[in-house]
Amino acid sequence: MDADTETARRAAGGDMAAFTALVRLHQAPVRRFLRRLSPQDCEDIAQDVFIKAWRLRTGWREQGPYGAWLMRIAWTSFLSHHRRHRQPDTAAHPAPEGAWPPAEGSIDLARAMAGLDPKARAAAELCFAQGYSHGEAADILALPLGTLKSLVARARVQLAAALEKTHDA
Amino acid sequence: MTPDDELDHRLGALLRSDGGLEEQPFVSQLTQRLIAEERLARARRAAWLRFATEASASAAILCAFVLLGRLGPLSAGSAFQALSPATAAILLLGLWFAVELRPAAGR
Repeated sequence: MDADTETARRAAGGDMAAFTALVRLHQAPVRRFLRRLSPQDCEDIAQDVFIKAWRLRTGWREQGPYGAWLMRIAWTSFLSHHRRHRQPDTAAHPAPEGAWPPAEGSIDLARAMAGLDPKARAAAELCFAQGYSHGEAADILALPLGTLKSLVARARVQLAAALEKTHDA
Repeated sequence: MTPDDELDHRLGALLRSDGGLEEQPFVSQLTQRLIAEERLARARRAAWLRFATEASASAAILCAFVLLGRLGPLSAGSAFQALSPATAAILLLGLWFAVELRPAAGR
């Protein structure tokens, strides 16, 4: 059993210090994922994700990594937020306060990511940037594996095109 | 490694370089919210316990009231005797129980 599982088990038992340790460990990937999906509201949604994770702490059944469980909550939180506040192009907004400016080479890529629909963006972020396998990402996004693979393939084509454009310029 | 894998690695590296976020303000704010959440949950539990206690006491009083009403004199038949002295005494006893003897956690 790894340290993450043991800490998550203690958090599931109501140990707030253990939960805070998990927050420190997983806040960066969760916030990065949400920033990619909804830059304007990512901080609020991320806070809600961890509050929800605390409320549902007994729902983590050790079926997979704790980080993936949090990502599932993050995705469903984003979807319900997105339904409530429909925005035509959420990723086109500037990054929230406190965020570091993106590295120069990634600007075009970020723009290309913003052009993808939220599902494809989420799939690309999980598989390319966060290193999840197709199976894990499909599980997080509650999509059939085939659908996830086609989303990733579509994102790859669009991002590769953006990358080529950067090199040509 | 296939060309797709290479491209995925390159994309991943570029996407990961897309800035970072400060940890401490986020964690501090979240901790405050978690503490408030816990306080609220405790208050909610206490309110439910108080409600359950008082509802049980009220139900007990009501039952005693109905049963004693049925124990009236034979001549009165089966009519409900709501104002008998025994009923009033049980009612008072029940009210005293509900107000004074409820669990301390429920206050």
